Amino acid sequence: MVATQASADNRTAFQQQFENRKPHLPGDAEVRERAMQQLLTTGLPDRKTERWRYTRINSLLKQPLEPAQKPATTTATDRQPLLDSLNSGSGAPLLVFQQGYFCAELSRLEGLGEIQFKPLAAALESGAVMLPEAADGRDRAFDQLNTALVADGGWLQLPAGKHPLITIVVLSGSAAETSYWRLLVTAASHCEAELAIIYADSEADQETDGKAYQLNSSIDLDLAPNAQVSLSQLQQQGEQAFQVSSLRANLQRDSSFKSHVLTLGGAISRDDVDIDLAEAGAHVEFDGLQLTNGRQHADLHLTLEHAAPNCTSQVSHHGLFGDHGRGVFNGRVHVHPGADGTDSQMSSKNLLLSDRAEIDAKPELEIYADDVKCAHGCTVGDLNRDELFYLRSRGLTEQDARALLLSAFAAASFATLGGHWGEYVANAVTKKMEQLSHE
Amino acid sequence: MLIVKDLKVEVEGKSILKGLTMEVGAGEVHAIMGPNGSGKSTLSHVLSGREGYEVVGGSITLDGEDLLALSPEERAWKGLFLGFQYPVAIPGLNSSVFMREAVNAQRRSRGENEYDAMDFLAIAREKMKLLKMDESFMTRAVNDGFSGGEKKRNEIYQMALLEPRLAILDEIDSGLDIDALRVVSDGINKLRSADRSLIMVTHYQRLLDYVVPDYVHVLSGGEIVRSGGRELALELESSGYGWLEKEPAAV
Repeated sequence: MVATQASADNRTAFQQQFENRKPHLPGDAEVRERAMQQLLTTGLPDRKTERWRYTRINSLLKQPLEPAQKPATTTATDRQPLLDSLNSGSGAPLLVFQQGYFCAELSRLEGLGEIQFKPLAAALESGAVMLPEAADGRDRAFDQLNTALVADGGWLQLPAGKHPLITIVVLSGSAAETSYWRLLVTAASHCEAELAIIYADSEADQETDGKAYQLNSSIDLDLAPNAQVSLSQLQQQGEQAFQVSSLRANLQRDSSFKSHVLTLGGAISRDDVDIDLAEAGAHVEFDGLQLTNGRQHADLHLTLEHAAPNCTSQVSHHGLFGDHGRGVFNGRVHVHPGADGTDSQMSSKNLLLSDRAEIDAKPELEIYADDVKCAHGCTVGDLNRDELFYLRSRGLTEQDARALLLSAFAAASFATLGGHWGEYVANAVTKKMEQLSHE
Repeated sequence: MLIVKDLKVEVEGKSILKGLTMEVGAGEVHAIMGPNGSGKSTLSHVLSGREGYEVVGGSITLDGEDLLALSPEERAWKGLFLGFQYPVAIPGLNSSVFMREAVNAQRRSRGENEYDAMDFLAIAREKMKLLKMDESFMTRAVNDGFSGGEKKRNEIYQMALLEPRLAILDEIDSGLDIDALRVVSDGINKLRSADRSLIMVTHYQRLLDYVVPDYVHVLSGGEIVRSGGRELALELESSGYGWLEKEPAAV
């Protein structure tokens, strides 16, 4: 009963935060009230919450951090080198957020072209868009909190046609508080767009800083018929950070969604990805990568709702865990009645680089249609002996062969990311891999 | 150059090679033929240092040095190369990155300067021409999504880059149609030289029409039962391997 008592306290604390913040929050208050009510009714995840079984966050929630306030207008950040390295004179648009709030001074809107962008606060105030209803249930508590407490973020409307890469940088952690960030995206018919999101510590020197901050991020994406959207997320938070992210995508007829969730940083991170293949012919390609070491913990819960006929999905998860690093992967494919012609493939490949590392990987298939092709596979182990021998027979030492194969293993999950962004991701992964293999 | 003496090898307690003896001189091309299960692939693997094979008797020396005491990479540094029967696909590992690492590892072992990316690119291009390979190959992952022919061509391309002194080609002809076989054979022939020895392990004599060997050995039941010149392969083609069971083993 102790646990129940503690979570009841949490709720009160969050309720208090909501009451304090409410007068200053933009947009319709009712949806926020409802989200808060859901939270008060069902509570936060605890040890008995199935979807949070492997990710214990009780200690994090004992004393909820205060929500971050809007930072003073700033034209300087010690993450300027990061922003420069992303832009490198490409002229492509860059959207920067600090503690969840849009920062016009650090952003570059010039390259957006026909893409419509508004800071979320302004979009909500104008009534142009409303926050979606939060999902029900204890396991969706963070979604409810985001809906109730989020003050800013972004709203993007992607019209038909091919657009330049939009890079989004979400910085948080200037203080030990929780940043709330929300991105709402609608992609019109026949639009071709690519979004790249980096989550990082707003302080450059995260290793010595080690501030325990939190980010609650949430993305909603609507793809109209024949829209093609690629959305990749790279998580490079400070080593004491807790990040909880949700991504919901709704796919209409013949639309295509490519998505990457690449988790390198943070102490504990949790991603809930829910993709609804709502209409016929929709296509999903999802790649997940988890690299953890030290005492890092990364949890990815993915659900694909195959609700319509002739939809296809390919899910590939790669996990590499060193030292005490942990990973959780739960991939659920739900094929609804009538979703004939579904073709769904899921694989989870995991390498444990130490005896103390751990992965809990669980693919789940629920099929209620007859004419479907579904395959899933899950492996946990060490590097493949045949591959090692192949490389050594060409003259690479065992150590070099291992390093090369580990990089290749990780690289397989972002091979489709090209250009400058692909290089940025590759460099970030290489740096992280060096930490992993030196333990 | 290579001397194999009375080699006895077991796999999981089962005797596979039962006293194999052969000698390969500089620049010679030897073909090792034999039915399935005769120990052909075991010989290739033991020569290259693959784990899982226990040498219980005999010796292998390369220029007088005990090959069995060396790791697979050390053997490669000595100039040994194995062309795999089933080359491994490695998604995520760029072919050019892999081969540059391999070439440089070997150059380091000989105290030579490493190639930078530009140097390597020039050399790789030249070798690819030799094998009539498309340049797009350089950006692909190692053997990932390659056809059977592409994989084998890739093995010969790697051989061209690594310039071994002794290459063992394990069923390099298997799974190839006639056009692919011709390209692969042409590549091998271009790589023949007075200081490069070749051991071609094959089930069929077809390959030997294109790459003509100096010596042919027939392996059966873990031993070399006959050795001869090119004509032995032709004889095998007309009579098959059936006679092996009737005739008493003779070296």
